[in-house]
Amino acid sequence: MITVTGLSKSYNGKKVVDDLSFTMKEGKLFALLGSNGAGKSTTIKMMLSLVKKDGGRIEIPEDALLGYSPETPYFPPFLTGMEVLLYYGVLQKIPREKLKVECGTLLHLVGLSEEKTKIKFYSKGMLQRLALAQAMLGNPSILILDEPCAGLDAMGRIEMIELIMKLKTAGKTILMNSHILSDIEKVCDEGMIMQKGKVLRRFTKEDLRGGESLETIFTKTISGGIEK
Amino acid sequence: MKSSVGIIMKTALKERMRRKELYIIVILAILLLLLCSSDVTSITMNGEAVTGFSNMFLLMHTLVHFVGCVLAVVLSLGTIPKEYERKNSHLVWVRNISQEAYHGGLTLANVCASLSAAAILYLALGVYAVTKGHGEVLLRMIPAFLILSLSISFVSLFVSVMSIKLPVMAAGILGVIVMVFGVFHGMIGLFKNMLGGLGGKCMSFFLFLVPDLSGIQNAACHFATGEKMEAHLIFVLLFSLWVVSLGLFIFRKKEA
Repeated sequence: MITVTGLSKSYNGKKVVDDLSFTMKEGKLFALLGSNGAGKSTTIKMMLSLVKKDGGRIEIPEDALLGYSPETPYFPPFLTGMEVLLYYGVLQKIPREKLKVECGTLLHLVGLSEEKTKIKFYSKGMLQRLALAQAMLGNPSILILDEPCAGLDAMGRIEMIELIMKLKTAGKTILMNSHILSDIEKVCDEGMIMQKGKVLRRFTKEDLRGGESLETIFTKTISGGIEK
Repeated sequence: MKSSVGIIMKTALKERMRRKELYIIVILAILLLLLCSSDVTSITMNGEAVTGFSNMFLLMHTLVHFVGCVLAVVLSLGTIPKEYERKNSHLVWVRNISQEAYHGGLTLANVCASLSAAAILYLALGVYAVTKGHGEVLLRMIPAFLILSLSISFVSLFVSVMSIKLPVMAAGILGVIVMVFGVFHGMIGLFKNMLGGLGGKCMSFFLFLVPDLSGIQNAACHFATGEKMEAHLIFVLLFSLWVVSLGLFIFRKKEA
């Protein structure tokens, strides 16, 4: 379980995350929703210690390994998918004899096992899938996915969501940030809608079963602006 | 930590080798070779035409050193800022790689790229020596290059370390100032004496801070031609390299 309490961050006196609290349950997918500038990415970066928090507490189990897939992944264009995974695997100190097998398995899982081409020839969808593969190196129990479906075509999105569902079934705890509400609706167990660094509304899978679509809830919440 | 530094350096170096700077260096080396091969009599030093192998060798050696230092600035300036700009740093930081190891690996790649560029230029100098019938200097040119490489490494290391903390433009300007003060150390020393006053004092201060890279260049050239060299400058520069490398541990990024 991950617990975030009273998290806050300001840039030049402007609060981008303001007293944010939430809990992520083990083996569940938690969604962060909000318009641009809502503070979703900053929250993720604080959880990953990429950005220093001004206040609050982030409690992650000590033995938990975190995997992170960025919104706009950059990989050296002259490497192949396998070489990219080997690079990050070495950085992660995965034993070399184990690493090659693991990289092969991960590439197969994300559907890139046949790819011998260099990254510079990869499509956006292939890059996103490779980003997910590198996030899974070392078999982390927690995955943080920042806009995993950004820039993907319809087929790419379907495949990515299927993959995320598989990971959830395998017991991974996932934090996912996305603008594509229909995708979130398919996979999330719970989540929250943010605006200007604050929580506007929290929701669970049960709320979505009640008849209202996530899109309706989102639109109503953003225009209403009150935490429920 | 060792394997992390190694793989970061290897990958960053591979990337440098694929960039257009390398081709520019090769073209520069060829131009230098052509210039050296032709009997240039229009170049003068102290009012006298530079002719003969030893004079031309000294001149070309100075030129290789200067161009090598300029290339060290160019090749080292953008590496670390670009890593953060592309957010490649995110995927490195989340793997608990220390900033020292990360920046150290990238800096080593910069130094290696700068030395490779200088080696290409130095090779052109070697070809010139052979074409002029002075093949005997070739063997001595190998340790001479190692001496010269200290100077180029210093410039590359300094610019890399500064680029951790300063914006690219500021790090570049500072790098060029240090390079100019180092490469023209002797000449600026003379100018400082002529200038006097506050300007002279400022120059003295800079000259005190910046190691004498021109002295290193002279030492390398003298070694190559079998003349006596001032070895103490090498120790001063080694100390300076150690001092600047401490910046890798002192300068830290607050955010990835």
